[in-house]
Amino acid sequence: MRRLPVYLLVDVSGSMHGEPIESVKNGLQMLVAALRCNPQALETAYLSVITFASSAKQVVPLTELTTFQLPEISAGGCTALGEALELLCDCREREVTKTTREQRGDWRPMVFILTDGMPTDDVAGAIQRFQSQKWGVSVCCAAGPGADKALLETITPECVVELASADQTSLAAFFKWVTASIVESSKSIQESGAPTEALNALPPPPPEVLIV
Amino acid sequence: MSASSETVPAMEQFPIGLSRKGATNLPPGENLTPPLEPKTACAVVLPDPWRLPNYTLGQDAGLMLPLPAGVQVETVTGVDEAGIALQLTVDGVQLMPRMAGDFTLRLMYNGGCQVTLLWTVNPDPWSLWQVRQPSDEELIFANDRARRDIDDHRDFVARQLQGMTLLGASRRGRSHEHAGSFRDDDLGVWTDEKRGSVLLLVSDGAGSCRFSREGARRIIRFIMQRVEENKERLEAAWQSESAQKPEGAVGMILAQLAAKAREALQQQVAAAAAVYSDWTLKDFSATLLMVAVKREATGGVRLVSFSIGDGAIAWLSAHEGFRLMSRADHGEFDGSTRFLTSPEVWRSVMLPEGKVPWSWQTFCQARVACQYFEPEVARGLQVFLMTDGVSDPWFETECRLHEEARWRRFADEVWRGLGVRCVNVGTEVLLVEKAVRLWQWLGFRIAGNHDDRTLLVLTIDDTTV
Repeated sequence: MRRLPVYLLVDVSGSMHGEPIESVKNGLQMLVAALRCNPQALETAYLSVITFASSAKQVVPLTELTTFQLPEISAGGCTALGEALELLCDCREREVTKTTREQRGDWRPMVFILTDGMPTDDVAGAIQRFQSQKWGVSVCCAAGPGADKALLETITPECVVELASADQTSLAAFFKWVTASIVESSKSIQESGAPTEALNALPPPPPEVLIV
Repeated sequence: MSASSETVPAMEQFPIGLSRKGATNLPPGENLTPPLEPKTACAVVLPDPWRLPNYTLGQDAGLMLPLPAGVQVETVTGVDEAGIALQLTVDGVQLMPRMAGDFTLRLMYNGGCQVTLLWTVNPDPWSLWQVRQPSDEELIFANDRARRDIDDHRDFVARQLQGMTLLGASRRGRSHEHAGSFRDDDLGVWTDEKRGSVLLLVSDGAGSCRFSREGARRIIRFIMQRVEENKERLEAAWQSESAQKPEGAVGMILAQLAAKAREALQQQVAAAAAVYSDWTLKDFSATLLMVAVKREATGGVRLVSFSIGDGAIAWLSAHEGFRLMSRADHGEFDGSTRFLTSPEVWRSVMLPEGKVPWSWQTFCQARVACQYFEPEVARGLQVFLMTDGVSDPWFETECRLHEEARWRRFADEVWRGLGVRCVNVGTEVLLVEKAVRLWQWLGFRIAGNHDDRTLLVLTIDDTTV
């Protein structure tokens, strides 16, 4: 079966400590619980979580929703976004099945990147590598004013969204929108045989999530 | 709390990853009284909270707690509120949930030790699919549809003639049921009983095109009517010497039926333009698979197939021998499906500005396949036509569509579903019941495959006519 891989890249640097990180955890829990109740997402979407602080780590490998368990996440350290993007590309190579004559590969992965600050490592090379591959819908989210929107636009030129602050309400709204987007794409796969690739086919974001 | 009369387990049995903390040897029976400091009395310390492996409803097994050696469970609290049936046996602890949710339970063990259990129970994936009726506003062609007594969500075919049995069913896919939208598939069977001549048709409307369901329906109805009007021509074609060549008389008739169906759609779109100026031919996109079958007086069988788009046509002989008759029909670069309405399909035969088509021969060679079976070989023959809602889950790739073993397995599953051996299905009365069973079988559950499903099966009786 062709899977829809979804990679969530989450900034867990020191600035995310407190309300932001707790909101991310709640958001993730809400996301998984909602996806589990949607029959199309439940059998199509596979989730992976990559966190990045002083270094990047895949805290949940690409996992089907039924067996997905929330990772332990805590905030602290710098913002190794470059390393996170490199890791994302590595994980894709390892986890996402390619189409061959004998088998149908997975769909192009969806990518959601959430960060509240400036990267502290070298991102140029990583962005180039990320850009050299084709991805499904990919979105960067600048959580609060500290994030470098111009830089995020070089990662996902089609879609950067912004939250006024990394507070509970905004992050909940963001995760809700991510959930709806995954549901929409799973639905599209099952109804018309292909995931949502155009951004305007995604559900409209809630007021807290502004398109840059 | 149930007391355990077993002795405290051997201290050596520590599973990897569990620490030995405050271990005390308690004499038997001592654990009846909760100690004042439960944690310090535990011989084996379980992780706290302990996240259990997720469970999915719809299985009978329940979850057997993966307990490390040396843990004597006394009870689990919180199960009643969560609707979880708890079974404490000598083999271990079994939890059997009745509803989905994220549960927090409390496990008591080894004389007063306790940990929190976190447990996620997923709903039964199959229970999440809903069946919704489409709303009336979507019925733009409602008046048209009201004239036919066919259920929008299902269709059946059951016929017998000249030692041939025809069974077919079409079923609205789970995705469409869930979304409250219509079935895009359609099927049709035309027969000339006296002459043992049959035309089998299936069509699948393109999911992304707004009137594709209507497109599929119109294509099938048009061809059925047209072939009835031209049955003498078809019969003559079967008698011609070139009947067994793709570009021969029968293949040409099929190709032209398809071309005429497209033309008719085009005219209908043009005729509606005064009212619906935004309609396009593309809105009515649908695939088309056809097989013309001729039972000869000798008992021999001829097949001529024609296909545009995905799905599959294949025959399987009674014992050995198989052929995929439909072609892999994807766009060269984007892999998208082709449809009867797609301009590129007709490029070789339809020049712009009404110029004379020039290469029907090439066109037929690409899309038509022929097969002749001697009477002996024809017995027990099975011919399958299906939309991609059936071929995708069973074959997945084009490559696998060429594997006879997979087709044999597929056929076995179909006949098992019908509760009969493949041929000699029975009398006409039983036949209708078999078509209903075929429809039921088409509800098979293969994760990730919920498209509309249409399957037509023709079998040749294995007794002489």
